[in-house]
Amino acid sequence: MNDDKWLLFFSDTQPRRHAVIRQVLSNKRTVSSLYWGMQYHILDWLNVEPELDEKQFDLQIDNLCEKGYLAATSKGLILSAAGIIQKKDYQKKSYIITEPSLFQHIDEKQWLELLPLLIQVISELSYHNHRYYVVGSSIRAQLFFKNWYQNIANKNDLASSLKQLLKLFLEHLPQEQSNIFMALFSGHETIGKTTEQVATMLPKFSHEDVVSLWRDLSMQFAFFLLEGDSNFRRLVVPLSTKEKLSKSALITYQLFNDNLSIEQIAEKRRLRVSTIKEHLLESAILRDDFVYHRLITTDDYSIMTSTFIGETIDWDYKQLDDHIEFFKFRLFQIERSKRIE
Amino acid sequence: MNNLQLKQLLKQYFGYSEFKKGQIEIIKSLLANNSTLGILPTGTGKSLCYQLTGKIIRKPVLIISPLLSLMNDQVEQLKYSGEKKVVALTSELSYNEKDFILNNIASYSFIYVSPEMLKNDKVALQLSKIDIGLLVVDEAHCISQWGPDFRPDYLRIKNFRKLLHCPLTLALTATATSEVAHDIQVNLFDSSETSHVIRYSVDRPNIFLAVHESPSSTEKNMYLIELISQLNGPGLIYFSSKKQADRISEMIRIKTNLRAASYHADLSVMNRYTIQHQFMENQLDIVCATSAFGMGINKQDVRYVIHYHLPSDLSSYVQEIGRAGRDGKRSIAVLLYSKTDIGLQQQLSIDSLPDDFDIDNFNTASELDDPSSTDRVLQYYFDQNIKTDKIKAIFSKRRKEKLEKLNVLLRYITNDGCRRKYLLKYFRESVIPEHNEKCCQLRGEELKLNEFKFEKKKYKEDSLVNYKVILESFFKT
Ligand SMILES: [Zn+2]
Repeated sequence: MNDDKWLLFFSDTQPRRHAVIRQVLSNKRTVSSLYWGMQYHILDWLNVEPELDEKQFDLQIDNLCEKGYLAATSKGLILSAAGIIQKKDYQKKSYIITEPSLFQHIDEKQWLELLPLLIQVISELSYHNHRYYVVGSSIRAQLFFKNWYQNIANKNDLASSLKQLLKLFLEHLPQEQSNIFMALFSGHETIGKTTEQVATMLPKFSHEDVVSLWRDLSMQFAFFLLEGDSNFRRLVVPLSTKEKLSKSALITYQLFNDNLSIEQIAEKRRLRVSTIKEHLLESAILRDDFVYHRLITTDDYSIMTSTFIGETIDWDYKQLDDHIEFFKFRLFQIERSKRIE
Repeated sequence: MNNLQLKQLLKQYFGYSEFKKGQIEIIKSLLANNSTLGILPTGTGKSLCYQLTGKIIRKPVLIISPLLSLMNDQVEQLKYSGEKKVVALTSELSYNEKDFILNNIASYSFIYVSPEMLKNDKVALQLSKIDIGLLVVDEAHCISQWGPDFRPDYLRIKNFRKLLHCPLTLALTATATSEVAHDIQVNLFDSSETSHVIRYSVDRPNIFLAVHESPSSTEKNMYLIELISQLNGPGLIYFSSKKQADRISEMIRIKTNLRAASYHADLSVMNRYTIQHQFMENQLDIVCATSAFGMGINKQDVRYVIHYHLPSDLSSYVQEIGRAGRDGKRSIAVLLYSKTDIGLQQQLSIDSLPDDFDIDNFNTASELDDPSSTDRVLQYYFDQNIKTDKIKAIFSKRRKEKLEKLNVLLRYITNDGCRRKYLLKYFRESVIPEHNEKCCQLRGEELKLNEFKFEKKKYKEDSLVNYKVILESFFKT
C-alpha cells in the first residue's frame, strides 16, 4: 500500500486535518468530522475506505512525517514543500477514484460480489452452459442474485443487452482502463485475472491502482445501470440509496420539516436536546434544502453578519461574547460556507 | 447393491470410473443401514461417500460442517455435478435469507449447516420436520472435548440427532487416534446403538518423502528456487504466514519463469476464485498458500507439496501433503526446515493458548463471534461450572501435548531411519512397508530429483486483451 495516497487529503495551510481525514474516509460520522470534512472539501470521500484501520492509518501518517512529506506544527500536520511535490507526483502517476461520492450511495461490498456473478451467469447463459463453477461470492450474494434472476420474464435478451450496456459504458473510458476492467472478470471458458496479475503486466499500474480502478469503474457501472431502464437496473436499486443522512438524523430532519420545534422533537423521540441539535447540524451539512431561518432569527442574522468577515473557517465564536448560542453560530457558518461554494 | 452397480452409479452421477480407497466400503456400510465412523486421510474423497449415498437413497442429506470455506466449495462442487437442490445454512446469511431457506427446507436434497446454527430453535424445528435420510458429521474429531480442535457446538449434535429420531449417520474425520474415535462414538451415539468404524491407512505410497535442512533463510530461499526450477509441477507451497506467502510468490515470479500466486484469507472472494480456478486449469504452476486457509479444490495432478515453514504437527503434515498425487502418480513432498522455524511454530500453536492469567481474567459475559476461538472453548468450560483450577490444568495439559506434538514433528526431520516408517508408527498402523529408494530420502542423503524433473516449458508473455474481444467471447449473441 502506497502511503502517499493520504497526501491528497492534506493541505499546506490547514493543520488539523489528520483525524478528520480518517473519520470521513471510514464514514465515522460525528458533527465535528462532517463539519470539518465540509470545510476541507473532502465530504465526497465519505465511506470510500470503510475498512480503514485507525492504527494502520496512523502508522502510515507517521511514515509520511518521517519521509518529510508532512511537517508537524503546534496545531497539527501540514504538507511540507517536498510533500506538495510528492502529492502532485502521486496525482500524475496514480489511478485516483474519480467518482468517490458513489460510495455513499451504493452498497459497494454487495455490488462488487454481484457484478462478477452477473457477468459470468449471463455469459454462460448465452452459451446455454449449465456446468460451471460459480464465481467466488457469498451465499448471500448468490441468493440475492437468484431472486433477481428468477423474476426476469424474458431471459433471452439479457446477454445482448448486457453486452451492449458494457460497450456503451466502456467506450467513453481510456481504452487501457476498459481492458484492465474487463480482464478481471470470468466468463464462458475464461478465468479472469487477479488484480495483482493485471498489475504485474502493466508497468504503469501498481496493484493499488488496479484495485482503485476496479472499485471506481464497478461503482460507476452500477450508477450507469441505475440511470438506465434495463432489467439490470432492478439489481442495483435495492443496493442504492439517495439519502445521505444517517437513519436517526433523517427521522429528526423529517420531524423538523413537519414544523416541530427542537424540544418537541426531543420529547417525541425521547432523545436529548443536544442529540437533536447534532442531527440538525448533520442535516444542514449534508442536505441542500435546510431552512436556516427557522432556527436563526433576523436579529441573530444581523448580529452575526456584522460581526464576521472573511473566510468562514477563520471565524471565532468568542467574538459573539455569548450573545448567541454556539449551535446557531455553527448553523450560520454552515449556511455561509455553502453559499460561497 | 454390488460393486458393479455402484460403479455405474458413480459414473452416471459424478463421471468417475473408479472409486478411491475406502469410499465403496463406507457407501456399502451406509446402504446396509449401519451408522459409520469413517477415518480416511484427506484426498480420498470423503464427501463423495455421502453425496453418492444421498443420490441412491433419494432422501435429503444433512451435513454438519465447521468450515465455511470448505462448505461453500462443496456446495459449488455439487452444483457443478448438476445437483441444484443444495444449500448452506450459515451465520453468513441475513435473517430474511435464513427464513426463506428454512421455509423451503423440504425442497433441498443436500443441506449443509454450520454447528452453531443448531442453537437456533427455528433451524432445529424446521430440520426436524423433514425426513432426513442421512446425517453427516464432518470433521467429527471436533467433538472430542479435551482435544485440541474441540468445538463446544459439536456437543449439541447428539441431542439434535435425537430430535431427528436418530437417522442413519456418517461421522467423518481425517485422522483420529483410537481415543478420539471412542470420544466421537460416545458423544454422537446412544450406548444402545452400534456403529461401524472404517479406518484407512494414512500412507500414500506414491508420495516420496524428503526434508531439506537450511542453515539460514537465505539458503532456504535459494534452495527453494533451485528445487522448483527442476520439479515437475503443478505444485503447492505451504506457509505459516500470509506475508511470507506473498513475498515468496513474488520472488518466484521474478527469479523463475514459473507462474505463481499466493492464496490466503486476505484475498477477496473473487481473487480466491480466480486463483483456485487458474490452478485447476493449469494456468498457474505454483500456489503459495497458508496452511490455515486450505484450498477446498479437488485437483488430482498436484505433483509436489513443499512446506516452507513447519506444519503445526504430524497429522496436519500428513493432511497437507495429501493434496499431492491424488491421481495416484508419483509425487514428492519436501519439508524445508531451519532451526529458526521452531520459534515461529511454537508461537503460533502454543503461545496462543490461554495461560493462568488469561483464565483468571476471562470475562464470561463478552460477546464471541468466532466459534472456533479459544475464548469460546473457555466460555464453554465456565458454563459447565468447571473450576478455574481444573481449566488451568486442562490448558496446561494441552500446552504440554502441543509441545510434545512439535517434538514428534521435529523427530520426523532429525530421525535417522525411514521417514515413512516413523510416520506410520506414530499413527499406530499395523502394516509398515519396507524402505526402498522410491520411499523416502534418508537423513544425510542427497535428494535425487531425477524422476520428478520436468522438461522446460516456454510460456508466452501474457498481455491484456482488448475489452471488445472479451465482450465478444463472453456473450454469444
Ligand atoms: Zn523410507
